[in-house]
Amino acid sequence: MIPRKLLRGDKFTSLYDLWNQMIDHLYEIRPVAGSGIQIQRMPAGMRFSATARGGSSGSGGSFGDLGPFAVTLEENAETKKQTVKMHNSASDGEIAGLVTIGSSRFEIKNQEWAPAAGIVFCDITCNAESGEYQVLFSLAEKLPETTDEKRYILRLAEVTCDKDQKTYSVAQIRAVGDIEVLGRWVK
Amino acid sequence: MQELNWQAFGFPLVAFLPAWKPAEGLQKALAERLLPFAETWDIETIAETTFLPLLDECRAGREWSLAFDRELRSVAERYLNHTKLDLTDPAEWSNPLWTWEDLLLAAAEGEEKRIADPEKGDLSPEWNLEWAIQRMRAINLLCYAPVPYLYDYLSGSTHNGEPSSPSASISAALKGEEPGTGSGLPASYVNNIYGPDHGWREGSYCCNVVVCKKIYATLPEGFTPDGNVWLFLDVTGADGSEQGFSGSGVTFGMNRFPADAEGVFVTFPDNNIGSGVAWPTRDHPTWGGWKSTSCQAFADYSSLFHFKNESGGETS
Repeated sequence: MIPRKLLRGDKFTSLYDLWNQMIDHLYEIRPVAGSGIQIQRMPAGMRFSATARGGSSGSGGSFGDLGPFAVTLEENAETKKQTVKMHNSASDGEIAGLVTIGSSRFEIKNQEWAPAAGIVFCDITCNAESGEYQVLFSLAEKLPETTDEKRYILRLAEVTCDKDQKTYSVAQIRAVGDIEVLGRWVK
Repeated sequence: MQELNWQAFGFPLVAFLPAWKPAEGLQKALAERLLPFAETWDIETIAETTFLPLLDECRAGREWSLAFDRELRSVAERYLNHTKLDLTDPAEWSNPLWTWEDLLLAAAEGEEKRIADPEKGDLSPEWNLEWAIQRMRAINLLCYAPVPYLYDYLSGSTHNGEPSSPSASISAALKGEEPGTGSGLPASYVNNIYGPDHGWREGSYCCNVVVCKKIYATLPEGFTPDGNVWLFLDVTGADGSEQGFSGSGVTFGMNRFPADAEGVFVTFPDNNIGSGVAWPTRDHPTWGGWKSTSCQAFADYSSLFHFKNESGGETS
Protein backbone atom coordinates (compact mmCIF):
# COMPACT_ATOMS: atom_id res chain seq x y z
CA MET A 1 0.00 0.00 0.00
CA ILE A 2 1.07 3.59 -0.45
CA PRO A 3 2.74 4.97 2.67
CA ARG A 4 1.37 8.10 4.30
CA LYS A 5 2.74 11.50 3.44
CA LEU A 6 5.46 13.01 5.53
CA LEU A 7 4.31 15.35 8.30
CA ARG A 8 6.02 18.30 9.90
CA GLY A 9 7.65 17.13 13.07
CA ASP A 10 8.27 13.60 11.85
CA LYS A 11 11.47 12.29 13.33
CA PHE A 12 14.23 11.65 10.90
CA THR A 13 14.44 7.97 11.82
CA SER A 14 10.80 7.48 10.79
CA LEU A 15 11.81 8.34 7.22
CA TYR A 16 13.58 5.00 6.88
CA ASP A 17 10.35 3.14 7.53
CA LEU A 18 8.30 5.31 5.17
CA TRP A 19 10.95 5.04 2.47
CA ASN A 20 10.98 1.24 2.69
CA GLN A 21 7.20 1.17 2.53
CA MET A 22 7.47 3.17 -0.68
CA ILE A 23 9.97 0.67 -2.13
CA ASP A 24 7.71 -2.23 -1.24
CA HIS A 25 4.84 -0.48 -2.91
CA LEU A 26 6.83 0.09 -6.07
CA TYR A 27 7.64 -3.61 -6.21
CA GLU A 28 3.96 -4.40 -5.83
CA ILE A 29 2.92 -2.27 -8.76
CA ARG A 30 5.90 -3.11 -10.99
CA PRO A 31 4.73 -4.82 -14.19
CA VAL A 32 6.08 -8.31 -14.62
CA ALA A 33 6.09 -10.20 -17.87
CA GLY A 34 3.92 -13.26 -17.86
CA SER A 35 2.74 -15.93 -20.18
CA GLY A 36 1.71 -14.32 -23.45
CA ILE A 37 2.63 -10.84 -22.26
CA GLN A 38 5.81 -9.07 -23.20
CA ILE A 39 7.25 -6.04 -21.53
CA GLN A 40 9.80 -3.91 -23.23
CA ARG A 41 11.60 -1.32 -21.15
CA MET A 42 12.98 1.54 -23.16
CA PRO A 43 14.35 4.94 -22.21
CA ALA A 44 11.08 6.49 -23.32
CA GLY A 45 8.94 4.15 -21.24
CA MET A 46 7.60 0.65 -21.20
CA ARG A 47 5.82 -1.15 -23.94
CA PHE A 48 3.39 -4.02 -23.29
CA SER A 49 2.45 -6.44 -25.99
CA ALA A 50 0.89 -9.82 -26.34
CA THR A 51 3.05 -12.51 -27.88
CA ALA A 52 1.72 -13.71 -31.17
CA ARG A 53 3.34 -17.08 -30.97
CA GLY A 54 0.67 -19.41 -29.70
CA GLY A 55 2.00 -22.28 -27.66
CA SER A 56 5.38 -20.74 -27.14
CA SER A 57 6.86 -21.34 -23.76
CA GLY A 58 8.30 -18.63 -21.65
CA SER A 59 8.12 -14.92 -22.08
CA GLY A 60 9.54 -13.15 -25.06
CA GLY A 61 11.01 -9.72 -25.68
CA SER A 62 10.40 -8.98 -29.32
CA PHE A 63 9.93 -5.46 -30.56
CA GLY A 64 6.33 -6.18 -31.39
CA ASP A 65 6.76 -7.06 -35.06
CA LEU A 66 7.96 -10.48 -36.02
CA GLY A 67 11.02 -11.00 -38.13
CA PRO A 68 14.74 -11.75 -38.38
CA PHE A 69 17.17 -11.23 -35.55
CA ALA A 70 14.49 -11.16 -32.88
CA VAL A 71 15.89 -11.78 -29.43
CA THR A 72 13.50 -13.47 -27.04
CA LEU A 73 13.58 -15.26 -23.75
CA GLU A 74 12.55 -18.86 -24.22
CA GLU A 75 11.67 -21.42 -21.58
CA ASN A 76 11.76 -25.13 -22.12
CA ALA A 77 8.33 -26.47 -21.17
CA GLU A 78 9.75 -29.58 -19.58
CA THR A 79 12.97 -28.49 -17.95
CA LYS A 80 11.83 -24.94 -17.29
CA LYS A 81 15.32 -23.90 -18.31
CA GLN A 82 15.44 -20.45 -19.84
CA THR A 83 17.58 -19.35 -22.76
CA VAL A 84 18.07 -16.11 -24.62
CA LYS A 85 17.42 -16.93 -28.24
CA MET A 86 18.23 -14.97 -31.39
CA HIS A 87 16.06 -16.19 -34.23
CA ASN A 88 13.60 -15.21 -36.91
CA SER A 89 10.47 -14.85 -34.87
CA ALA A 90 8.37 -14.93 -38.02
CA SER A 91 9.42 -18.46 -38.86
CA ASP A 92 10.49 -21.65 -37.20
CA GLY A 93 13.56 -22.10 -39.42
CA GLU A 94 17.18 -22.39 -38.42
CA ILE A 95 18.20 -19.08 -39.96
CA ALA A 96 18.01 -16.08 -37.68
CA GLY A 97 18.49 -13.66 -40.54
CA LEU A 98 20.76 -12.31 -43.23
CA VAL A 99 23.68 -9.94 -42.84
CA THR A 100 24.57 -7.99 -45.98
CA ILE A 101 27.94 -6.24 -46.32
CA GLY A 102 28.28 -4.76 -49.76
CA SER A 103 28.15 -7.61 -52.22
CA SER A 104 28.60 -10.21 -49.48
CA ARG A 105 25.67 -11.85 -47.74
CA PHE A 106 25.81 -14.12 -44.73
CA GLU A 107 23.16 -16.48 -43.43
CA ILE A 108 23.22 -16.43 -39.67
CA LYS A 109 21.89 -19.42 -37.82
CA ASN A 110 19.77 -19.20 -34.71
CA GLN A 111 21.82 -18.74 -31.58
CA GLU A 112 21.08 -19.27 -27.92
CA TRP A 113 22.78 -18.14 -24.75
CA ALA A 114 22.31 -18.86 -21.09
CA PRO A 115 20.39 -15.97 -19.56
CA ALA A 116 22.61 -13.23 -18.23
CA ALA A 117 22.22 -9.52 -17.86
CA GLY A 118 23.88 -7.81 -20.77
CA ILE A 119 23.70 -6.86 -24.41
CA VAL A 120 23.08 -9.05 -27.44
CA PHE A 121 25.08 -7.55 -30.25
CA CYS A 122 26.40 -8.16 -33.72
CA ASP A 123 30.17 -7.81 -34.08
CA ILE A 124 31.62 -7.60 -37.61
CA THR A 125 35.32 -7.33 -38.35
CA CYS A 126 37.23 -7.26 -41.61
CA ASN A 127 40.57 -8.92 -42.15
CA ALA A 128 42.84 -6.18 -43.49
CA GLU A 129 44.81 -8.51 -45.73
CA SER A 130 42.25 -10.94 -47.06
CA GLY A 131 39.27 -8.61 -46.92
CA GLU A 132 37.20 -11.43 -45.41
CA TYR A 133 34.45 -10.52 -43.01
CA GLN A 134 33.83 -12.25 -39.71
CA VAL A 135 30.30 -11.90 -38.38
CA LEU A 136 29.72 -12.84 -34.76
CA PHE A 137 26.79 -12.48 -32.37
CA SER A 138 27.30 -12.42 -28.63
CA LEU A 139 25.58 -11.87 -25.34
CA ALA A 140 27.98 -10.01 -23.08
CA GLU A 141 27.71 -7.90 -19.98
CA LYS A 142 29.02 -4.86 -21.82
CA LEU A 143 29.70 -3.89 -25.39
CA PRO A 144 33.36 -4.41 -26.26
CA GLU A 145 35.53 -1.36 -25.96
CA THR A 146 37.48 -0.90 -29.14
CA THR A 147 39.24 1.78 -31.11
CA ASP A 148 39.28 -0.36 -34.24
CA GLU A 149 37.48 1.75 -36.83
CA LYS A 150 36.95 -1.30 -38.97
CA ARG A 151 34.93 -3.03 -36.27
CA TYR A 152 31.18 -2.72 -36.68
CA ILE A 153 29.11 -3.29 -33.57
CA LEU A 154 25.34 -3.25 -33.62
CA ARG A 155 23.22 -3.66 -30.52
CA LEU A 156 20.23 -5.94 -30.94
CA ALA A 157 18.72 -6.38 -27.52
CA GLU A 158 19.27 -5.88 -23.83
CA VAL A 159 18.77 -8.60 -21.26
CA THR A 160 17.99 -7.42 -17.75
CA CYS A 161 17.79 -9.39 -14.57
CA ASP A 162 15.47 -8.78 -11.67
CA LYS A 163 17.63 -10.10 -8.87
CA ASP A 164 14.83 -10.07 -6.36
CA GLN A 165 12.39 -11.93 -8.55
CA LYS A 166 15.21 -13.92 -10.18
CA THR A 167 13.68 -13.36 -13.56
CA TYR A 168 15.08 -12.11 -16.82
CA SER A 169 13.48 -9.93 -19.43
CA VAL A 170 14.60 -9.01 -22.91
CA ALA A 171 14.19 -5.63 -24.57
CA GLN A 172 14.68 -5.53 -28.31
CA ILE A 173 16.78 -2.46 -29.03
CA ARG A 174 17.06 -2.83 -32.78
CA ALA A 175 13.80 -3.46 -34.61
CA VAL A 176 13.63 -6.93 -36.07
CA GLY A 177 14.80 -7.31 -39.65
CA ASP A 178 17.76 -8.42 -41.70
CA ILE A 179 20.96 -6.47 -41.16
CA GLU A 180 22.66 -4.42 -43.86
CA VAL A 181 25.88 -2.62 -43.07
CA LEU A 182 25.75 0.86 -44.57
CA GLY A 183 28.13 3.80 -44.60
CA ARG A 184 31.31 1.77 -44.97
CA TRP A 185 33.68 1.22 -47.88
CA VAL A 186 32.90 -2.27 -49.11
CA LYS A 187 33.34 -4.49 -52.11
CA MET B 1 48.77 20.95 -38.62
CA GLN B 2 46.75 17.78 -39.06
CA GLU B 3 48.69 14.95 -40.64
CA LEU B 4 48.15 15.03 -44.36
CA ASN B 5 48.81 11.92 -46.39
CA TRP B 6 46.90 8.93 -47.66
CA GLN B 7 47.79 6.80 -44.67
CA ALA B 8 46.27 9.29 -42.25
CA PHE B 9 42.91 8.67 -43.90
CA GLY B 10 43.16 4.91 -44.02
CA PHE B 11 44.49 4.43 -47.54
CA PRO B 12 45.18 2.10 -49.14
CA LEU B 13 43.50 -0.33 -46.71
CA VAL B 14 40.17 1.47 -46.51
CA ALA B 15 38.05 -1.67 -46.68
CA PHE B 16 35.25 -1.54 -44.11
CA LEU B 17 36.28 1.84 -42.75
CA PRO B 18 33.44 4.22 -41.97
CA ALA B 19 32.65 6.21 -45.10
CA TRP B 20 33.69 9.58 -43.72
CA LYS B 21 37.38 9.07 -43.14
CA PRO B 22 38.59 8.02 -46.61
CA ALA B 23 36.09 10.38 -48.22
CA GLU B 24 37.52 13.28 -46.25
CA GLY B 25 41.00 12.20 -47.34
CA LEU B 26 39.96 12.18 -50.98
CA GLN B 27 38.49 15.66 -50.63
CA LYS B 28 41.66 17.00 -49.05
CA ALA B 29 43.83 15.35 -51.71
CA LEU B 30 41.73 16.89 -54.45
CA ALA B 31 41.89 20.29 -52.78
CA GLU B 32 45.67 19.96 -52.73
CA ARG B 33 45.72 19.23 -56.47
CA LEU B 34 44.05 22.61 -56.97
CA LEU B 35 46.87 24.48 -55.23
CA PRO B 36 49.00 24.87 -58.41
CA PHE B 37 46.15 26.95 -59.80
CA ALA B 38 45.60 29.01 -56.66
CA GLU B 39 47.11 32.38 -55.92
CA THR B 40 48.74 31.14 -52.74
CA TRP B 41 49.95 27.70 -51.67
CA ASP B 42 47.73 27.39 -48.61
CA ILE B 43 48.03 23.82 -47.39
CA GLU B 44 47.22 24.83 -43.80
CA THR B 45 43.66 25.74 -44.71
CA ILE B 46 43.18 22.38 -46.38
CA ALA B 47 44.48 20.61 -43.28
CA GLU B 48 42.20 22.55 -41.00
CA THR B 49 39.10 22.36 -43.18
CA THR B 50 36.60 19.59 -42.61
CA PHE B 51 35.16 19.05 -46.04
CA LEU B 52 32.53 16.52 -45.05
CA PRO B 53 30.16 16.78 -42.12
CA LEU B 54 30.71 13.76 -39.91
CA LEU B 55 27.07 13.12 -39.23
CA ASP B 56 26.23 13.10 -42.90
CA GLU B 57 28.49 10.20 -43.72
CA CYS B 58 25.74 7.70 -44.42
CA ARG B 59 24.13 9.58 -47.26
CA ALA B 60 24.24 7.81 -50.56
CA GLY B 61 27.75 6.90 -51.53
CA ARG B 62 26.94 6.85 -55.21
CA GLU B 63 25.62 10.40 -55.07
CA TRP B 64 28.73 11.58 -53.26
CA SER B 65 31.02 9.72 -55.65
CA LEU B 66 29.32 11.29 -58.65
CA ALA B 67 29.84 14.77 -57.24
CA PHE B 68 33.46 13.99 -56.40
CA ASP B 69 34.13 12.66 -59.88
CA ARG B 70 32.79 15.82 -61.48
CA GLU B 71 35.20 17.86 -59.38
CA LEU B 72 38.11 15.51 -59.99
CA ARG B 73 37.54 15.54 -63.73
CA SER B 74 37.65 19.31 -63.91
CA VAL B 75 40.98 19.29 -62.08
CA ALA B 76 42.50 16.32 -63.87
CA GLU B 77 41.95 17.75 -67.32
CA ARG B 78 44.33 20.58 -66.42
CA TYR B 79 47.20 18.22 -65.60
CA LEU B 80 49.80 16.82 -67.99
CA ASN B 81 49.43 13.14 -68.77
CA HIS B 82 53.04 12.31 -68.15
CA THR B 83 52.43 8.58 -68.52
CA LYS B 84 51.52 8.99 -72.16
CA LEU B 85 54.29 11.40 -72.83
CA ASP B 86 57.58 10.01 -73.96
CA LEU B 87 59.86 12.66 -72.59
CA THR B 88 62.71 11.38 -74.68
CA ASP B 89 60.72 11.74 -77.86
CA PRO B 90 58.67 14.91 -77.72
CA ALA B 91 57.74 14.54 -81.35
CA GLU B 92 55.28 11.88 -80.19
CA TRP B 93 53.55 14.36 -77.97
CA SER B 94 50.09 15.25 -79.24
CA ASN B 95 47.40 15.79 -76.61
CA PRO B 96 49.39 16.52 -73.49
CA LEU B 97 46.65 16.73 -70.86
CA TRP B 98 44.85 13.98 -69.08
CA THR B 99 41.54 12.98 -70.56
CA TRP B 100 38.98 11.61 -68.14
CA GLU B 101 38.85 8.31 -69.98
CA ASP B 102 42.62 7.88 -69.92
CA LEU B 103 42.79 8.73 -66.24
CA LEU B 104 40.06 6.25 -65.27
CA LEU B 105 41.75 3.55 -67.32
CA ALA B 106 45.12 4.23 -65.74
CA ALA B 107 43.55 4.26 -62.26
CA ALA B 108 42.05 0.86 -63.05
CA GLU B 109 45.56 -0.29 -63.90
CA GLY B 110 44.72 -0.57 -67.57
CA GLU B 111 41.82 -2.97 -67.15
CA GLU B 112 38.81 -1.38 -68.76
CA LYS B 113 36.38 -3.81 -67.16
CA ARG B 114 37.52 -2.79 -63.71
CA ILE B 115 36.85 0.91 -64.16
CA ALA B 116 34.58 2.11 -61.37
CA ASP B 117 32.55 4.91 -62.87
CA PRO B 118 29.29 5.95 -61.22
CA GLU B 119 28.35 7.82 -64.39
CA LYS B 120 27.93 4.44 -66.06
CA GLY B 121 25.76 3.16 -63.24
CA ASP B 122 28.17 0.41 -62.32
CA LEU B 123 29.01 1.68 -58.86
CA SER B 124 27.60 -0.96 -56.56
CA PRO B 125 27.52 -1.27 -53.63
CA GLU B 126 27.34 2.19 -52.13
CA TRP B 127 30.69 3.46 -50.83
CA ASN B 128 32.40 1.29 -53.35
CA LEU B 129 35.81 0.19 -52.18
CA GLU B 130 37.22 -0.23 -55.69
CA TRP B 131 36.09 3.27 -56.59
CA ALA B 132 37.90 4.74 -53.58
CA ILE B 133 41.14 2.94 -54.40
CA GLN B 134 40.95 3.95 -58.05
CA ARG B 135 40.40 7.58 -57.14
CA MET B 136 43.44 7.51 -54.87
CA ARG B 137 45.45 6.18 -57.81
CA ALA B 138 43.96 8.80 -60.11
CA ILE B 139 44.98 11.64 -57.82
CA ASN B 140 48.46 10.16 -57.49
CA LEU B 141 48.72 10.38 -61.27
CA LEU B 142 48.16 14.13 -61.23
CA CYS B 143 51.73 15.34 -60.89
CA TYR B 144 52.51 17.79 -63.66
CA ALA B 145 50.52 21.01 -63.47
CA PRO B 146 50.95 23.99 -65.75
CA VAL B 147 53.26 26.78 -64.68
CA PRO B 148 53.24 30.22 -66.24
CA TYR B 149 56.07 31.12 -68.53
CA LEU B 150 57.30 34.32 -70.14
CA TYR B 151 59.62 35.10 -72.99
CA ASP B 152 61.84 38.08 -73.60
CA TYR B 153 62.16 39.37 -77.12
CA LEU B 154 63.40 42.22 -79.22
CA SER B 155 61.38 43.71 -82.02
CA GLY B 156 61.97 46.30 -84.67
CA SER B 157 60.91 47.31 -88.12
CA THR B 158 61.89 49.48 -91.07
CA HIS B 159 59.21 51.17 -93.13
CA ASN B 160 60.76 54.33 -94.55
CA GLY B 161 61.74 53.49 -98.13
CA GLU B 162 65.44 54.07 -97.47
CA PRO B 163 67.17 50.65 -97.38
CA SER B 164 68.15 49.42 -100.78
CA SER B 165 68.54 45.77 -99.85
CA PRO B 166 66.85 43.33 -97.50
CA SER B 167 70.00 43.07 -95.37
CA ALA B 168 70.17 46.86 -95.04
CA SER B 169 66.51 46.91 -94.07
CA ILE B 170 67.10 44.25 -91.40
CA SER B 171 70.14 46.10 -90.07
CA ALA B 172 68.10 49.26 -89.78
CA ALA B 173 65.30 47.43 -88.00
CA LEU B 174 67.71 45.84 -85.53
CA LYS B 175 69.23 49.22 -84.71
CA GLY B 176 65.89 50.47 -83.48
CA GLU B 177 64.80 47.26 -81.80
CA GLU B 178 62.90 47.47 -78.55
CA PRO B 179 62.83 44.86 -75.79
CA GLY B 180 59.59 43.27 -74.73
CA THR B 181 58.20 40.45 -72.63
CA GLY B 182 55.37 38.21 -73.73
CA SER B 183 53.30 35.35 -72.38
CA GLY B 184 51.83 34.13 -75.64
CA LEU B 185 53.49 32.19 -78.44
CA PRO B 186 57.20 32.94 -78.84
CA ALA B 187 58.69 33.51 -82.30
CA SER B 188 61.85 34.65 -84.02
CA TYR B 189 61.45 35.82 -87.58
CA VAL B 190 62.18 38.29 -90.30
CA ASN B 191 59.47 39.44 -92.64
CA ASN B 192 60.94 41.10 -95.73
CA ILE B 193 58.67 43.24 -97.89
CA TYR B 194 59.42 44.88 -101.21
CA GLY B 195 59.22 48.67 -100.64
CA PRO B 196 56.71 49.54 -103.40
CA ASP B 197 54.21 47.12 -101.78
CA HIS B 198 54.02 49.68 -98.98
CA GLY B 199 54.11 52.68 -101.26
CA TRP B 200 57.85 53.33 -101.16
CA ARG B 201 60.23 53.80 -104.01
CA GLU B 202 61.31 51.11 -106.39
CA GLY B 203 64.36 49.24 -105.13
CA SER B 204 63.61 49.89 -101.47
CA TYR B 205 62.89 47.26 -98.85
CA CYS B 206 60.86 47.12 -95.62
CA CYS B 207 60.98 44.54 -92.91
CA ASN B 208 59.62 43.44 -89.53
CA VAL B 209 61.93 41.65 -87.12
CA VAL B 210 61.18 39.79 -83.89
CA VAL B 211 63.96 38.02 -82.03
CA CYS B 212 63.12 35.73 -79.12
CA LYS B 213 65.92 35.89 -76.56
CA LYS B 214 64.83 33.71 -73.67
CA ILE B 215 61.89 31.61 -72.42
CA TYR B 216 61.57 31.04 -68.69
CA ALA B 217 59.11 29.81 -66.08
CA THR B 218 57.56 32.05 -63.49
CA LEU B 219 57.51 29.57 -60.65
CA PRO B 220 55.44 29.67 -57.48
CA GLU B 221 57.18 31.09 -54.45
CA GLY B 222 59.30 28.51 -52.73
CA PHE B 223 59.16 26.09 -55.62
CA THR B 224 62.62 24.99 -56.61
CA PRO B 225 62.83 23.32 -59.97
CA ASP B 226 64.84 20.16 -59.76
CA GLY B 227 64.93 18.88 -63.28
CA ASN B 228 61.15 18.59 -63.18
CA VAL B 229 59.94 21.70 -64.98
CA TRP B 230 59.46 21.34 -68.70
CA LEU B 231 58.55 23.50 -71.62
CA PHE B 232 56.91 22.01 -74.67
CA LEU B 233 57.24 24.21 -77.69
CA ASP B 234 55.81 23.23 -81.05
CA VAL B 235 57.65 25.09 -83.78
CA THR B 236 57.05 25.64 -87.47
CA GLY B 237 58.48 27.92 -90.14
CA ALA B 238 57.87 31.65 -89.89
CA ASP B 239 55.53 31.39 -92.88
CA GLY B 240 53.82 28.31 -91.42
CA SER B 241 55.69 25.82 -93.57
CA GLU B 242 58.62 23.58 -92.96
CA GLN B 243 60.41 25.21 -95.88
CA GLY B 244 60.13 28.56 -94.15
CA PHE B 245 61.79 27.31 -91.02
CA SER B 246 65.23 28.49 -90.00
CA GLY B 247 66.86 29.28 -86.72
CA SER B 248 69.10 28.00 -84.01
CA GLY B 249 68.15 26.81 -80.55
CA VAL B 250 64.98 25.16 -81.77
CA THR B 251 64.11 22.48 -84.27
CA PHE B 252 61.13 22.11 -86.50
CA GLY B 253 58.34 20.31 -84.65
CA MET B 254 58.06 19.63 -80.94
CA ASN B 255 60.82 20.92 -78.72
CA ARG B 256 61.28 20.00 -75.08
CA PHE B 257 63.31 22.11 -72.69
CA PRO B 258 63.97 21.43 -69.02
CA ALA B 259 64.27 24.45 -66.79
CA ASP B 260 67.58 25.25 -65.15
CA ALA B 261 67.96 26.26 -61.52
CA GLU B 262 66.81 29.76 -62.42
CA GLY B 263 63.74 28.48 -64.20
CA VAL B 264 65.14 29.30 -67.66
CA PHE B 265 64.10 26.88 -70.36
CA VAL B 266 66.12 28.17 -73.27
CA THR B 267 68.28 31.13 -74.19
CA PHE B 268 68.64 31.79 -77.89
CA PRO B 269 72.03 32.69 -79.29
CA ASP B 270 72.54 35.89 -81.16
CA ASN B 271 72.77 35.01 -84.79
CA ASN B 272 72.33 36.50 -88.17
CA ILE B 273 68.60 36.21 -88.24
CA GLY B 274 68.15 37.48 -91.75
CA SER B 275 70.66 35.23 -93.42
CA GLY B 276 69.34 32.95 -96.09
CA VAL B 277 65.98 34.68 -96.40
CA ALA B 278 64.99 35.15 -100.03
CA TRP B 279 64.71 38.66 -101.44
CA PRO B 280 61.12 39.81 -101.62
CA THR B 281 59.57 40.83 -104.91
CA ARG B 282 56.47 42.82 -105.72
CA ASP B 283 53.47 41.26 -103.93
CA HIS B 284 55.69 38.46 -102.66
CA PRO B 285 56.97 39.14 -99.12
CA THR B 286 59.37 36.57 -97.72
CA TRP B 287 59.75 35.06 -94.29
CA GLY B 288 62.63 33.52 -92.40
CA GLY B 289 62.86 32.09 -88.88
CA TRP B 290 60.31 30.29 -86.77
CA LYS B 291 57.10 30.69 -84.86
CA SER B 292 55.50 28.48 -82.26
CA THR B 293 52.06 27.00 -82.66
CA SER B 294 51.79 25.88 -79.06
CA CYS B 295 53.78 26.55 -75.95
CA GLN B 296 53.05 25.06 -72.56
CA ALA B 297 55.11 24.69 -69.42
CA PHE B 298 54.51 22.06 -66.76
CA ALA B 299 56.12 21.35 -63.44
CA ASP B 300 56.14 18.18 -61.42
CA TYR B 301 54.61 19.26 -58.12
CA SER B 302 55.06 15.86 -56.48
CA SER B 303 57.65 17.17 -54.07
CA LEU B 304 55.11 19.66 -52.74
CA PHE B 305 52.14 17.31 -52.54
CA HIS B 306 51.32 15.46 -49.34
CA PHE B 307 48.90 13.04 -50.99
CA LYS B 308 51.09 11.02 -53.29
CA ASN B 309 52.41 7.57 -53.89
CA GLU B 310 55.11 7.28 -51.28
CA SER B 311 56.41 4.02 -52.71
CA GLY B 312 57.51 5.74 -55.87
CA GLY B 313 55.32 3.84 -58.32
CA GLU B 314 52.81 5.75 -60.29
CA THR B 315 49.51 4.26 -59.31
CA SER B 316 49.62 1.98 -56.33
